[in-house]
Amino acid sequence: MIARAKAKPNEFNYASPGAGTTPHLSAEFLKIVGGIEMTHVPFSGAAPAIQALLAGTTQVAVSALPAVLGFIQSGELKALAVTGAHRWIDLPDVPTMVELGYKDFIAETLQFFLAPAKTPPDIVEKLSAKSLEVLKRPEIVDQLRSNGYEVIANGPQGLRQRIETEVPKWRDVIAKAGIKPV
Amino acid sequence: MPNKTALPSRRRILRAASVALGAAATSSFHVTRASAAAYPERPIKIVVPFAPAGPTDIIARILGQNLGAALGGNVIVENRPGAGGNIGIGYVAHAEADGYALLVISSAFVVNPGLYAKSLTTLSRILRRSPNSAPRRMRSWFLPGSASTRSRN
Repeated sequence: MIARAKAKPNEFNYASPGAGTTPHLSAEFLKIVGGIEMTHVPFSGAAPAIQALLAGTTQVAVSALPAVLGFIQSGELKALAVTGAHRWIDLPDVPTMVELGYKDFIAETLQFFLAPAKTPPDIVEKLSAKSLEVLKRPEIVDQLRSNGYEVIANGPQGLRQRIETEVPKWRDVIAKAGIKPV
Repeated sequence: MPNKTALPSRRRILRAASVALGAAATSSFHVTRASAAAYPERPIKIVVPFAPAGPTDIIARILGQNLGAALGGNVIVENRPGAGGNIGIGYVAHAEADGYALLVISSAFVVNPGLYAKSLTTLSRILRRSPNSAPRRMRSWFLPGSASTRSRN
């Protein structure tokens, strides 16, 4: 795909789940490190982005796995690479970007569960305890894995720390990819 | 009951809540408007700031369905897409902080502070005071309920 994009600049339109999503930033980063041109076509979420790809409106798409795993497994979509640190357990033949020679090209889409800041702590504690209990059930872990998710479930303090490390990380990616704040 | 004389600042609330979360201990924030023992007394809404059937929507529905059962109540998922997630974020940030409006959000939550400079111009005073504090407003809006999952792009 990189070779073809280099041979025919701007032949590729890529669908993303929206401006500023991690798939969008990953694709912009790929344009830089791969030395290719692609036109960004943002949608309001991964589902409409993938529908556009299936309909041929765009030639490629970048998406978190849950929106595409079923289409990959059914053969409707061809997976070119995963951006995680390791291959996805249920897609053993799909290489990582690092394996393809793109050093440090690791991007994972996280999902956060949050409550407004003034929520009474005893309610936050109840929500947290129950959601962690749910997310650690083996049948839920399996159900999520089959949908393309890996459970972290590290609780409020761990999530707070993760948020504080993720923000500067992505700010750095935005700067390196040359994306102008909107 | 301590600290009932004045309205505590937002940061003070955040600090008090953090302590309670970490230690599961008593906190100074006893002026709660709802009781955890009775919670939930009505359906809980989880806002997803993206279209249905995407990664954030799917996890919200799986979590919501099971969380509702675990809490002995109902959890409904409401999609409020737009502006890269900022519409849904803003909706929950300004909703009543009573545990009935919650947010499941993708990494947009940690990307947007670096991307939506213009939409956050009202925060410029805060930003100038502390260069690394762009997410401070978002941090002060939200308390992490629990980390949920990650998915590969």
